[in-house]
Amino acid sequence: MPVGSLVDFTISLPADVVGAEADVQLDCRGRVVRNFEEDGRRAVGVVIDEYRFERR
Amino acid sequence: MASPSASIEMNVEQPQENGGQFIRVIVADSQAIFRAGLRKIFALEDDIRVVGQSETLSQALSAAKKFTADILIFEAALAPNPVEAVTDLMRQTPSLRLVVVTPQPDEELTLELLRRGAYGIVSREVEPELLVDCLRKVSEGHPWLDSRGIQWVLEAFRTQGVRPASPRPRVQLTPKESLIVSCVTQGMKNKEIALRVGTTEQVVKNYLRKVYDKLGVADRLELALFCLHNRVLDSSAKVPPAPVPSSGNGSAPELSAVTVEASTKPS
Repeated sequence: MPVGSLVDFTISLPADVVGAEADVQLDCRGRVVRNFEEDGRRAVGVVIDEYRFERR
Repeated sequence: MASPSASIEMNVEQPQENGGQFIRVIVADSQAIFRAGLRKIFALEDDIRVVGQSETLSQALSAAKKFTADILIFEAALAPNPVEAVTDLMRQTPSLRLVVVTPQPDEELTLELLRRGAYGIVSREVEPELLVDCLRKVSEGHPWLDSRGIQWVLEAFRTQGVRPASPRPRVQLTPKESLIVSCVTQGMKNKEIALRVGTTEQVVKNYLRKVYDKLGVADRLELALFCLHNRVLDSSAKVPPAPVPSSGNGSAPELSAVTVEASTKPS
């Protein structure tokens, strides 16, 4: 994934971590600022530009 | 309750121009009896003078600024976060050497205080002669730890390559702070949080600022990610249900589509 790519992704915050009844979703939009390979796996570093908590 | 001016006091015996003859000490401790005990112990030593004392963190910061001293004996329990307090004191008065008195021997706290620049760390149960020895060594610019502390440091040094270095000091949130963090990480806005916990938006903002400082985060997103990686909340942080509106059209409160946009603005 090239640097500068826009990515949308979701982070799940488990219910017990946030003290909620159900998991909380954190919808994020960001930009790839670096990419690298580690232990045979590809990884990217992303800066989050926008986010929103998705409550169910 | 004693006023700050009454509690920060200067010893009339303070040598103003001592040419390095005396070790000038400020004692910052919440217990008057402990401060009095230290003064008695140091009174027997020719080379140690207590030049000021304080009983709260803010007084300690003032005393460090006001008095010319070599060493501040600082009770860790004076601050909700002693590590941050030590950092603040060092930043404010870099020439002052800190000897921190911990409530009891504590490996993690000892290591973190050393990393932040404390010169000496003793527990409250320290023997008087060891504390005097500590002050003398620290005044000469040497760090001082008891044998157990030295063992912890050596062990940390030995194992730093095989375990994660510098574990974050465990942060203690008050029940109210935990509750507000829980609300934030569930996506609630300040107004809704205020309703849930029975306070005002301004108070919620004040709490949030304090929490951000404690955890070293800058906004709601960082707070949520911090909670994800560190078990900050315990089971007591259960958010109470939203209050039932006393009037209205009878429709259910909006629970979906609650969004918090990313922003660098304080929220």
